[in-house]
Amino acid sequence: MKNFSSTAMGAVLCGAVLGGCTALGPLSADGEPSGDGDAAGGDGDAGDGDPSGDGEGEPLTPEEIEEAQGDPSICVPGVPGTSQLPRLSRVQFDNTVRDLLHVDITPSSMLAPDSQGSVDQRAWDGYKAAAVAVSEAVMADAAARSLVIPCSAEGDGAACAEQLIQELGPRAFRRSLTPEETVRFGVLITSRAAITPTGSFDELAQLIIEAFLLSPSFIIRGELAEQPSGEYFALSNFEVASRLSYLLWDSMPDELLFQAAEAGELSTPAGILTQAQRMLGDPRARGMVETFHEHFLHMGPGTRWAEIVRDPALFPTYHDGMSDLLSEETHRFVEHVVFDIQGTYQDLLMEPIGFVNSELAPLYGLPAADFGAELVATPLTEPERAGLFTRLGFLASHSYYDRSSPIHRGAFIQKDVLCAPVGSPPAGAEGEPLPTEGLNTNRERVDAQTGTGGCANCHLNYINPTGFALEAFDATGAVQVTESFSGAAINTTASVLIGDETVDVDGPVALSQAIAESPDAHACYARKWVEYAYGRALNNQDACVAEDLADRLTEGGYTILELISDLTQSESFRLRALETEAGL
Amino acid sequence: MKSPKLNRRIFLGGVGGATLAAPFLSSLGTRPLMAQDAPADPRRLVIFYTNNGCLTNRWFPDIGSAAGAITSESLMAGTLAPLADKASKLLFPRGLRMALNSFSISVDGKNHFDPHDQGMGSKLTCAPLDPDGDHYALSHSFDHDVARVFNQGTNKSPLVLGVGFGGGGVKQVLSYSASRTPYEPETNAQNVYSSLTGLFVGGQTEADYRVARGESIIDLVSDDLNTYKRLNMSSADQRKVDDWLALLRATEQAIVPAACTQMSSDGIGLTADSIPSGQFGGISHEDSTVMLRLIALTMMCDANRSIIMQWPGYNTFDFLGHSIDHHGLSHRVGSAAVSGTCVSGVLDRIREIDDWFAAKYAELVFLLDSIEEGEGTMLDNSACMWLPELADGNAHNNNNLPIVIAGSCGGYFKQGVSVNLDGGTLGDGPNQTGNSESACATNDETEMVSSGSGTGSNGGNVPLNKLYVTLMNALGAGDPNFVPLDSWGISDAGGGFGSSVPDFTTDGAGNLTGGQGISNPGELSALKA
Repeated sequence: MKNFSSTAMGAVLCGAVLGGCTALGPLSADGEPSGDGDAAGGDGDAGDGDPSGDGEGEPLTPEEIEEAQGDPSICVPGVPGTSQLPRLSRVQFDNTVRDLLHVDITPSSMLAPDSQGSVDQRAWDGYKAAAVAVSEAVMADAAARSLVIPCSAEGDGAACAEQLIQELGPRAFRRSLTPEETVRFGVLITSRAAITPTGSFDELAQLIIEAFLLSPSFIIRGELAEQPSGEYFALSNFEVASRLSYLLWDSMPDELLFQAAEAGELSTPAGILTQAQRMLGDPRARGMVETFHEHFLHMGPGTRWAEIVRDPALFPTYHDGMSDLLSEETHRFVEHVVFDIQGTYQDLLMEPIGFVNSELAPLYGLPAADFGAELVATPLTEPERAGLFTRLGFLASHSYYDRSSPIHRGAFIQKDVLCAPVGSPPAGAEGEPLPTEGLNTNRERVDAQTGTGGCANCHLNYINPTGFALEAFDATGAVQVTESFSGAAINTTASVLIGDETVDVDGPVALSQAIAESPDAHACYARKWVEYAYGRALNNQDACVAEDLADRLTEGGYTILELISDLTQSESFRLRALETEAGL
Repeated sequence: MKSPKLNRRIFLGGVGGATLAAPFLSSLGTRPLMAQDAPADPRRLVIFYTNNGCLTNRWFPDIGSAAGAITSESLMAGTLAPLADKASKLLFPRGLRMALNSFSISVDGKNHFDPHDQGMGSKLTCAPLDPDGDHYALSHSFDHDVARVFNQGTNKSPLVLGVGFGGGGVKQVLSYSASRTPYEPETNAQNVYSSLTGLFVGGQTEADYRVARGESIIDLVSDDLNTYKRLNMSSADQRKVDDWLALLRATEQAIVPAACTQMSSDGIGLTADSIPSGQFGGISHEDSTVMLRLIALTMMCDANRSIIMQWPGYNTFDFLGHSIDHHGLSHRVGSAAVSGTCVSGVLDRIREIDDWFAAKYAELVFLLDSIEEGEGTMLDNSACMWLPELADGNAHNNNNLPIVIAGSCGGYFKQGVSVNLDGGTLGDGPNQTGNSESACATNDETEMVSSGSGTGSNGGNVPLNKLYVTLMNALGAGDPNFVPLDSWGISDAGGGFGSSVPDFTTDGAGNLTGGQGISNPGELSALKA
């Protein structure tokens, strides 16, 4: 099957789904692995069809290659070149330390910002400080210490120190120690008198821990195996184990995963899938799903979600301290859809469950007296509520101090949910005043503000109509039926451009439904998952994976958990290609 | 038994002959140090960077003109009153503007302009921003060149400190190590402190084992890296391994001034216990004082000659009783909207913020001036510059920038004077200080302010690039091998929002291939002593 279509992508930044590219191994409808174990992967089953109608294995023409080079969303099969020396991110460093050494002290606060460049002085200073702080914390914490140090020191403690190296080493390096490494760390034992204050066992043990944390083999998730596989290299089982654990947990492998690697079970897609499905049941996977959606929704410090301040005169039930609560309800909702009900993308958009406490209840039209301080899963009864984009968090964060912002809401959905080709506002746009004279609704004012000149195209076609369908909600996310400043009725009907189609919607539920059904939304969500999971901007090879996932989302009934476990099924998940200086 | 190995670091520091002149701390009660064979005192650049502009007409010295002598009296009535006692060590380079602050700026035919993105991204890079993606600057920033050229030892990157969240967006990043490569501020004081205490010149008995231990670890890490070197990796990966190995080798050979001690640290109030742990989430009095002291200690240890203190732009000064963030206040209306009803008393609120920053800048200047070094003070050997993101925050103008430099950088700069670099356009009348208080001056809530018109100022269009050239030459003047620069930055184009800036072009990978370069080269000789 040929995995390329010359369908014009041209001006469209994303969203177009090219047919016929199946980068993942086939799955049966219930998500069980087909077990074909095809190491080369890649080929779709007959049911996938091949809309491009091209013959299998046909090479790309030079023109097709040139076109693909300019557009990373075009699928070109293969394995992209990657660095063999990815460094642990700050989050991964924290989680790894927690799982390796049983102390939870957030050492990342000592590390330099994430970077995949060379380790510079600032980064090295950070690693040194973190290694000292963590090793001290382990020795000071009786529980951690007894878990990390597998023996009690007898005599000069050398035997126990040897055992520490033997047991901690492979877990710290996420692979077996080489004999040379064992000797190298053994030197710390023999030279202990010169390199510790008193030469005591405790000082030695602390130094050994510190030395492991400072080792490049700990800091780097090295992919060093040089076993050829066709034109690529096959990752070792231990390297695959790390890819799995850092994708699904942002942390090191656990004991079962190490065992699977030891037994050689991670050489096939089926073996990998078995572990992935097991690992998604672990609480650590919930953290990863939360982090992804935090990226997806642009949440976190310094974003619109961080400090949501509203005019207390207009919104007496809202207070500034509620910002964190709005993020929390959003996280809880996503977790509920993904894990509790094992939902689909469509569920994420449509599920009318809110996480509500006594503070949020009035904003959802519910009696505060029915709730306590805890957020609890609650069916939302207002007819305007569907899923994610009708929750307080999204709506309030995409609003102004004193009014809703159809522009921010609409632009986010178009750019980041549908991956529509909406660029930056033209020069000086932010300074464009909002006309008010004779205009009785926010909607009329926003159209008057943006309906002419360089603003008109994006605003009238993409941004404003999308936002207008959400005008059912005020600047705090509560339902509004009239404008507070004029008493005029709110109009939520709109003709919204969803991909290439114009869809007439009336209100937020219909808008959510249109997005939930949109192949463009599926392609966008899949692409964001691929970029997040593989830790790189989209490239032509990853585009094939994104397309496959998008197709499965469109087919329906495909849970988000299935999507995540399928991210481990691509050829490029278990093979690597040498990084080249310039693309493709 | 102690290690028979020599303490490599102290050995080189004490006997190598390249030991730097010791910054004496006698004024702070620490031990005086022996005079040594010393080359010239190190010169450093410190940039104190604030966002959202200020009320320019009370910020500039009150001398009725852009040019003239600066005395305590010229500062007493305005924002810079806390600096009155240091008037004789200040230089006001008047009439400067940032390059590329133009609506028409475009790259590869694509246009992106946001005055805050531009004010941050182009300020120290003098480069256009990426019209796509995160809108990062398309070149490295000035502070990285200063660090690369003037830093001693292995650290060729600047020290960029912050107290806000360490966000990496274009509106939070001032420093760039390369095109599209933001260099985020360090917001954890403990990190800076521990990297400096690692340099402290000891003399204590336990230092022997510490050095031996450090060497053991360096050996282990190097051995680990050397196994990577044997693999068939990409050239990019090989470079990472080589860079790391080189860093380790150089770490063994660090040269540290004799005044880089725990005693010096104690002398300026920095002890392990006094430093809050974790990252600073926003501005507070205590935290920011710690950061300012760390700047001084970094200078005493000569750990960096390119230092930035970068304040966050979206901070709410709740300890001043504010409920609206600085950015919202700077627009007078409480939000990013640039027109609307003035927040009641908004000019007072902005004044409080300006005054607070001025007090912090003064705190730094006084601190640096209290530390003796060579014939003078550490301030005298430095250029400690307050550089703003914008002139007036409401107008977003980047001309007639309020800039002050404390310290003569080893005698290179004039002192106690305001120099009008753009006499023709800036003029000498009262308007040369801008019009920040021309709107919202009363508490009449029905009064409107509008974008750009009124609160900005006219004139003052000498490209900021020329100041960077001058600073670079000032820093290099102490080094006989330094070749003075004639120009710096990608471009000095543009003279205001409406000005025309020709299209820039790139190779698609973030490297600029065309566009208007430097049309007005040379340094600002009028600033030279």
